[in-house]
Amino acid sequence: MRNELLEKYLPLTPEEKEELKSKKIKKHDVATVFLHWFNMLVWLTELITGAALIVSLNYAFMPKFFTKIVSDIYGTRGNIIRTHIFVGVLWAIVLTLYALFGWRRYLKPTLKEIFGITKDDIGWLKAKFEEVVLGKKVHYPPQDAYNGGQKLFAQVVALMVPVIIITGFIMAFHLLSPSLIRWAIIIHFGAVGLVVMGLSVHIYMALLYPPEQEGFFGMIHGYVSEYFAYHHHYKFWRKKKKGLDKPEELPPKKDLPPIKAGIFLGIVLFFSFYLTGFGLGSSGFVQRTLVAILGAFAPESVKNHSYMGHYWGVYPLWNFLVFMGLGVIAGTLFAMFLAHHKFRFRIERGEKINDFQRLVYAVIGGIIVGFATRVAGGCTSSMALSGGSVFSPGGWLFMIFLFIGGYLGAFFFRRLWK
Amino acid sequence: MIGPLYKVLGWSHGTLLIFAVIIGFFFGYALYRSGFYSAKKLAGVFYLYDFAVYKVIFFAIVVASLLLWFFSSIGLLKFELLSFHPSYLWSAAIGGFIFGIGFSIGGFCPGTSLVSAVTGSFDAIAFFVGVYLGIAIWDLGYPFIFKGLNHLGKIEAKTMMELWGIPYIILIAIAIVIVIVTFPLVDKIEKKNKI
Repeated sequence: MRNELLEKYLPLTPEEKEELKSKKIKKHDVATVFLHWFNMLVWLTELITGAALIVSLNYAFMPKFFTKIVSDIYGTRGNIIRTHIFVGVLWAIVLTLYALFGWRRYLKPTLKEIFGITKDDIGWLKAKFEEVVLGKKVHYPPQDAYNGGQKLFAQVVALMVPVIIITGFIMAFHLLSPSLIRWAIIIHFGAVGLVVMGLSVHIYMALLYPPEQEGFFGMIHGYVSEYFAYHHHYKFWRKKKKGLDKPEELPPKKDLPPIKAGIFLGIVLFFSFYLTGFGLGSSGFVQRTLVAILGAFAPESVKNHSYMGHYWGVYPLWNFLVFMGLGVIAGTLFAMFLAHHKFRFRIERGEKINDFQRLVYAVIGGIIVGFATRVAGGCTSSMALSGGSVFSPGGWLFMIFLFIGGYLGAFFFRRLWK
Repeated sequence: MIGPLYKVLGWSHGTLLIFAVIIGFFFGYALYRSGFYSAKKLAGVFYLYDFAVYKVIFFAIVVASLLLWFFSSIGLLKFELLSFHPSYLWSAAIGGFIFGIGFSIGGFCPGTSLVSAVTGSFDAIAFFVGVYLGIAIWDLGYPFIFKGLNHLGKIEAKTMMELWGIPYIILIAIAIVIVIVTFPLVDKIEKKNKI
């Protein structure tokens, strides 16, 4: 193989062509492949149900019989709405997890690439226009992993997907004000329309346009031939060949100093009170989810239970502290990736005990703490922090006795940690 | 706008829940960045080699109470509309004492074990399961045994301001004095016991 090929996009000799055709190069990771086909299923379901849901005659672009068929498949209009919302929420969750866990490896490099428009991308778009509309014979400039057209489509998708999710949530859960909900309907429709315009080209290219056939199968098993990569995505091929596509490792950040962390936590606590009138809490999350789990088996006895009955309400999970717990999980993951820490399974323990003993003691400690939260009516977050800041006598007493109990426990259990 | 907004503006329950997620998000962020994903760091306060727990809690209380005091004194917050636990003195003392013992054995409290469990720590997952078991023991045994233990020593006053008639800011000032006196002290202990 000629070395100049790595420097410049040159026409290949027939032997080189054969050589490149026989070699495979990895274009997509498994995660990308899965996400792509998951997206396809979501879009298929959402477009069909969504189109059938449009009642306004100004927007209903699908013929009546289409709506009729979809309603017949789903039974009722309510079922169509529920499917549309369920799949939409599932989609939002999967995309959020992808964004959180795949930020450094997938999303950030991809965003950088698709929004990094180069002269070659413009040149590609121009050449495509000249070829298709003016019928000229053209020469395409070398392209990245995504060509100019693909980038343009990816930009529309990247910008419109958050819009679709947010407006979808506003519509589905009747958030904020009625006039905003009406706006959300129009924006949702418009944003989907923009994506569908690109989507039709995307599907045509993948299924019907012969030169892109390899790209289509690449999206199934992740590999394309080097010839395809060289021909269609020269800059990507060169980068791969030179080994320049490894993501850089960032050093993990140290924990915040306690005073800084305390100020931050104090501000969060204040805003919790200022916005909602409630402080922070954690044990309520456990109590409520437990009631919901037990209630799934024996709803009547839990509802009428002399203690758990108080936590039932309309529905035990439809609660401030339960949703706060969900936020805590998301915030933790977010903090982890901003601090460049890696997710790793581990067991932390003192040196004098083994992993199994540590787990047993952790469960025992958990049982004692869980029980104590019910005696006191709260935990460190609600009693000590929230109660402490409004100078509740119970909150301060809890905190003082927590330290007394803790130091007494430490005297007897120091073997566990030293 | 006068707070608490949920009550003053009459938000819907759904809006409250959205804000719960947002507040929880920053709560989790703060706990993680404080280093409270590590049981060793948390337990350090009882084994005298790391006082981060003590410092973070106290500083958070001082900062939050100063902000609460400031906002309510300029009329931007209706303090009487805030919801927090009524005081059951015996319950709080007994519960706190047992809690402390469990904390020193397990190395977590409920919130921090959730944070740590999410980051992949099996000891935190074990502790979190333990919290479920402990709460289940109370819940299921409540009608038979623990009913008598619930809500002991109730006092009418919800805050120390009501209880003793001392202004809020004086109590905050006392807390600040405690911070100023004890922080250098615990720093010294921390250095001596460093592992």
